[in-house]
Amino acid sequence: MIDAAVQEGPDEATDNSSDSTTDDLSELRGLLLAPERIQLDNLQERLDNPARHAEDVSRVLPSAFKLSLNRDDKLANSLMPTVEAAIGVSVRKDPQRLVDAIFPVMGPAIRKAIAAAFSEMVQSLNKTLEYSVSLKGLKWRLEALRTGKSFAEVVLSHTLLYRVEQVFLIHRETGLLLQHVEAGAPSVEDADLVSGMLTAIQDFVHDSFGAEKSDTLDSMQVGELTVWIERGSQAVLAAVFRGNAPVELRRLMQDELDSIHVEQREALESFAGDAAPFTASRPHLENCMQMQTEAVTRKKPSPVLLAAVALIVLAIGLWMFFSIRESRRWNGYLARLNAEPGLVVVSAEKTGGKYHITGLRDPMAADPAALLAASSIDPAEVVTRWEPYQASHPEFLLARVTRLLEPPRTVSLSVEDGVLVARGAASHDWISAARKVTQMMPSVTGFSDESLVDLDLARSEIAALIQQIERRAIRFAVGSAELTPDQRGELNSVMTEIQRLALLARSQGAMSRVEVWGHADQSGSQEINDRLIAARAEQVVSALLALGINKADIEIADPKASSKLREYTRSASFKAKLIDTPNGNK
Amino acid sequence: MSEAQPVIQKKVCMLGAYAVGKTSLVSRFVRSIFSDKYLTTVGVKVDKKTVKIDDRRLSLMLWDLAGEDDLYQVRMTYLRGSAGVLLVADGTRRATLDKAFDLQQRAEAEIGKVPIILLVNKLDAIEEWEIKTAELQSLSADGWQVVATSAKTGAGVNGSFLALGEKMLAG
Repeated sequence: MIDAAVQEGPDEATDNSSDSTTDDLSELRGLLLAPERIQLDNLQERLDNPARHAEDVSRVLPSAFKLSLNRDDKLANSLMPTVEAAIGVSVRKDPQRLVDAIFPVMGPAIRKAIAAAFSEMVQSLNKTLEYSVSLKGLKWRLEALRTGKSFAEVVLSHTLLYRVEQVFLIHRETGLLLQHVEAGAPSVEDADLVSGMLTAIQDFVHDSFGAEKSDTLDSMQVGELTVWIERGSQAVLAAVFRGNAPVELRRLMQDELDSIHVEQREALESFAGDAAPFTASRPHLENCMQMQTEAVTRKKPSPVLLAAVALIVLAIGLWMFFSIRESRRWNGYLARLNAEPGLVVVSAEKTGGKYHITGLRDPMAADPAALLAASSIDPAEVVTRWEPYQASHPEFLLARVTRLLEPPRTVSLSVEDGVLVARGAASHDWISAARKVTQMMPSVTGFSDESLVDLDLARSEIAALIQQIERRAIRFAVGSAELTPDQRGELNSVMTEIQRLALLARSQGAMSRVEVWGHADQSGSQEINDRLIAARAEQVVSALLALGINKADIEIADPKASSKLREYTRSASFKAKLIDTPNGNK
Repeated sequence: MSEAQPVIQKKVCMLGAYAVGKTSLVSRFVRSIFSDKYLTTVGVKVDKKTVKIDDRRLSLMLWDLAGEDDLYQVRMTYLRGSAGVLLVADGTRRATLDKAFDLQQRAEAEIGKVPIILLVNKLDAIEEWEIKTAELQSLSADGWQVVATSAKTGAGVNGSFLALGEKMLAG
């Protein structure tokens, strides 16, 4: 530019060569004013060139604006229409840019307003719930009083149960996955694909149904699973959860998404497919992995339920008590029946609420009904069927035999090992009849009449017995009063005969008395012989007493009388006689 | 997702007329987890293929957009954020190539210029082709990257996906 100005001089001089004065003047002027000229040209250039204008104004504009704004608001007022128009044009052209610009400011503000509105709603809900009176309601009301929370909050906290299972951070424009957090073992086939498809579905729903550009798909529900989607200017946060999540979760998602936008603004804006920088956003995603466990809403059993359970337990207890008592009574009764002679229980069972007993009963056995009455079992509940039979029990046998034989008063009967034993005295006819009858009785194995006296034969037998007894002699050695073993047989025989005689005597209403006489031979002094006589008699008596002879049936004879009987030597002999007794048998 | 090596993710859209074999090409390339019914309902099916290009791992998120025909128009919003486009035509039907160019125009209006590869499918039936080799050569001369593919035999499929990957990483 300067060069051009310098070259201009000679050109002009050439054009006006005819006027030399002018040339000189110009030359002089050129020499004198060259620096000023250049300055002027520069100024001229500045005035003529709009690009230079803009450059100059841009230098002073910021400070000029500042000065003007400091002085008054004229500039603001004059700029306002322009700025408004500019924003209008911008929004018309691409609203997203403005949304992106103001989102960080507007987002939190709008949410604050919504939170306030929600809080008002909770309060009105509070009033509605105020009137709901239930046991649960009262409990929650107490909890609200205790914790200082509003009643509605307590209700919500108890009724909401949820668990966030996955959180996706998705790049909004490309639908590419930036970060993914999952609870427990991986269940999603491929989070990248889910992220892409989720974005596609959002676009699809928006295109298909969304009327306004700002309308977006916020939530999706598949069975128990719900997907909540929060959109920011650059990224989308999607949480997949099971159950009913509180609105706080959405607020939390918004806050976390905001934080991600603030912290990773540059990474989001320059995202070109590398998700590595977004590992830093993982804590924000993990914050969203909220859950409300069942423990909070674990119900305590209601008192009504407890009372019902207690009643049932009591009823079962009572029923068991009564059934055990009844069973004990029943078993006791059966044991009694079985122990009773002449009763045989064949079967006993409880059917149709009644006891059924079948069995055998000897007609002489105790009455089962009487036993039942003693057992405090309701007789109406017992059905019995007794088949008659003859018991071989000794008592019944004896009773039947007694009834059959009709023994005289002088006879006593007993059954010993199946053998009918008769004692006492009876007529010859009765004895032979009894012998025949017992032979025909199946349960009687024999008839013993050894202790029975045949009254018709007693007199002759007594006479024979007395003769027999008086012929007996117990021999002793010379000068001895000791019994020798070879005399044992003789002693036993005389013992049996004395007993039989006593029995027969009693049957005749008399008593037998046997005198034992001692004897000595002719040798020896009288004194020695007397002593031997007494000693031998005593020896035999004590031997017979030892064998079982009744003391009343035997006595020692007077030794003086005995010593006169010379025909006996070194022995003891017997004399028997009957003595009448005033009271018969005794 | 193993993060041993940083993976670059790129969204790629498959664009083309109805029944040119887009889905078959994708199935040739990856094993899908989503059913094909998404194509008829939502109009898109997302698949993923991770490839290795010059020691870099590239994860291609393949958005297989439902083919366009007289009744159905491709939702251009699905193209948003695409780093590359696979334009598919059917060699045996001339009209599908025209449709491909039409779609390409609309895509460019929506998302601007991104790497594009034109796949002319059904190479296995080349004797029935309506599109002539000379025509394809002239397209190449115009700057198009054209690959003849066959979803049936697999010819050209892997190569074209890799080629697009390279172009996207370079761009």
